Amino acid sequence: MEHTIDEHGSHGGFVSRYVFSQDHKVIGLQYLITGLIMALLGGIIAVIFRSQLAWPNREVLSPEAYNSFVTMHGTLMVFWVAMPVLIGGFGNFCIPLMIGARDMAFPTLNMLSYWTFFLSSIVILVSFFVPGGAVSAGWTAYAPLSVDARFTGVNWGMSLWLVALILEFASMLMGGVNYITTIFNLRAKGLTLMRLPMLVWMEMIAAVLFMFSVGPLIAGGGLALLDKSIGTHFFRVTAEGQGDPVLWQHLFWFFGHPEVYVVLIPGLGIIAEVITACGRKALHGYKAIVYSTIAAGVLSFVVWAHHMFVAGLNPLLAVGFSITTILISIPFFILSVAFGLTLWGGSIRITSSFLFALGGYLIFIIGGVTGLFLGAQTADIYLHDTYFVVAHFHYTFFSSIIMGTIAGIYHWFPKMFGRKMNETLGKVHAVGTFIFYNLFAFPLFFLGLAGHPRRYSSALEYDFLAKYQWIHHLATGAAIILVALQIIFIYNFFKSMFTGEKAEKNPWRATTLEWLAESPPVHGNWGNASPVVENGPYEYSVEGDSDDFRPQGKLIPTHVKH
Amino acid sequence: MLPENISTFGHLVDNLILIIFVITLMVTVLAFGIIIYAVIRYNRNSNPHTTYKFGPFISKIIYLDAAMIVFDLIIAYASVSGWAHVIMRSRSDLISEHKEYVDVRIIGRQFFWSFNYAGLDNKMDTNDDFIIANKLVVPIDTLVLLNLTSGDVIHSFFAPHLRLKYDAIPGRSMDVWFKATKTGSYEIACAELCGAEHYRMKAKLEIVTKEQYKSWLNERSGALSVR
Repeated sequence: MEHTIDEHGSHGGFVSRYVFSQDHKVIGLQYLITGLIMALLGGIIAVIFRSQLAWPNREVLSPEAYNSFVTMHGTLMVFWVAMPVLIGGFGNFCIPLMIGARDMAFPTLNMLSYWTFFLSSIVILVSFFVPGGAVSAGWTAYAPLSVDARFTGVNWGMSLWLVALILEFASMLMGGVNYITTIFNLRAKGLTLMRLPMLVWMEMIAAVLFMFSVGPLIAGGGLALLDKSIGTHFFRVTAEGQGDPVLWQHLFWFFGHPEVYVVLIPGLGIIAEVITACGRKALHGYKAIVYSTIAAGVLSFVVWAHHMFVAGLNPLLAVGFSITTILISIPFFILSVAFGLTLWGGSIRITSSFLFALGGYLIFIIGGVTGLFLGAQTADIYLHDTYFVVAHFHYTFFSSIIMGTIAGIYHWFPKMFGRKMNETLGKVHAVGTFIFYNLFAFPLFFLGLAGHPRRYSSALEYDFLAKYQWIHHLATGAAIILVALQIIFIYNFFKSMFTGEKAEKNPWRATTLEWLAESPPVHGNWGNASPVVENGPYEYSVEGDSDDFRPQGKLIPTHVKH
Repeated sequence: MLPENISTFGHLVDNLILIIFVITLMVTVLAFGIIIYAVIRYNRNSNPHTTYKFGPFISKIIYLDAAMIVFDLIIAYASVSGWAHVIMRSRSDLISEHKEYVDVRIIGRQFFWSFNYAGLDNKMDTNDDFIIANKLVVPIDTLVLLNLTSGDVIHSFFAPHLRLKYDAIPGRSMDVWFKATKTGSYEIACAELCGAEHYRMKAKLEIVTKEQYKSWLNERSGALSVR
């Protein structure tokens, strides 16, 4: 489909260009920056409650506050960092550029999506300061603990949490509709689906997974709000035994498991872009990766009850859910092998973005294999709700949400701001983050094996746990350094934005379409030209070529309609 | 790192964890080795130019994937057979297999465990029932039937040394069982976030000899009748 040029945001003043902008690049950066601020907040919260864990006798936090901090850390990191950064940020910034479009299909909806998200961010932050404090029932908000103020003393906090979540989901749905429509309708001439850059595939699959899974939880959130406000008992149990708290778990995890893939696979997409551009080699098994990811996405809808093996599920049902869960290792195994074969035989440029992508890839492998312990239901009897689970999902999430995101920032920073980030600082940041992340998170597997339940504000109450207090000291120390290290990144980010080395159009000599645009691209992306695609997305080092990459397409001048 | 196992089925859990550990360790070490070697061998300095043809992917992945499927089958088999033994046996089956058993109804509340014993007649809801808080006393080598429920929010009965964890959910009652193999005093924890004092909702697990249990039961049944 031919797209006429309407250079969104090129008219009007500062406000309509950069605040209430309809330009996908501005909206992408708004999402990215908001998400990174939330990430910093989530990290600081983590450092505070980890200090409580390391030194429980000093009572850094009261038990109530500890539960609130843990809950808000999880909530912020999943819904206000992973979603806006990976979906809102990279999705918005990269998709139209990578497919040769001038903007999203629905620019106004896109703007509305960001501002709905912004509103949800305000609501979730305000929930810290209402009477009773922020929600303290865990990021999974299991009923009836979450829906009845008698149990935690939290009242407004939970209502605002639900409202914020529903707003956030609405915002991400608007984004998802936009991504899918855009990818299907606004691709440049010659850009078939099997020529899409992997990140675009991943964003599309993520958007579809999110759209199919989020409905039940939005409905569940509405019901929980009714339970809280007008005293219904969908999830609360009355004296007569009516109402079922397990229903909430089903609704939450029916959404929750696809959701973890929603925030995982765009990160893997970023890793794929970075390792091909830095490895000077095609992505090996492109179609296998696409089909595997789709298979994993489909499977993710039939694994949700593995979060509920010991919640009184029909034991026979648990067998089925365990087998589907174990099976999901196969598509991700194929994907991991494909990434490995991509590195093999390349001519790798070790840049900051490559180090982050490599670190993310290694961390993802550990996250993946440890999932087998939890998917096997008999081992899960013991490991469920222990630190083993905490370590496992930190490994999966961190690979994508932190390592993938930062790899993407170093990679696309020249395109975003027309300047490069400092590579020396970047490499220090990459190596430091990888080392201290592992020092923080790996010991938690051992705590889990020792039987340490999660969400305890002190381990000293139990004899069988008190002897492992040194692991809490180690993890807390490493976590503090990990968060402090990010100062290097913040400094590098803002310094480079204004004084970094000027970047040309294609500083990494990468193939995909976004590198044909100016750095940073003008409103409307392509000026008086349109990209036409001639090649696959990763034609690096093709035999017989004089140069080591073939751009995916070229710009052809077009008649511009204003 | 696992605490000492004191139940008849604990080894099923421990062995499964060990099997998965061996498999995943192999896969991870191999993967890390290959990836790190690739990055060293094929970086720009040691391999300044690369050319390659687009070859088929399937021929490279098929054996690796077959191996992974075999690993998955081993894990699934071990897990399902363990599950069939630990969780899938009904209360009536267990009773018919054992001559003697101890019946305990457990109610989780913010923030304590109450253990309701059937008393001397070994029948629930009779006059000699009694309740004690935060202490589960059971005889060694005897089937213990637990019936779990909650009086307020969701709790989770977790006895790490028994390798047993199961939720206590308001409005539901769920059966699990164990047989202890060693006497001694152990700890029971709550494994599902249940409020501010979740971290200290603990109970003692006392495994005693059959004789000790009998005299303890006699003593208690007289003293603490609630109905």
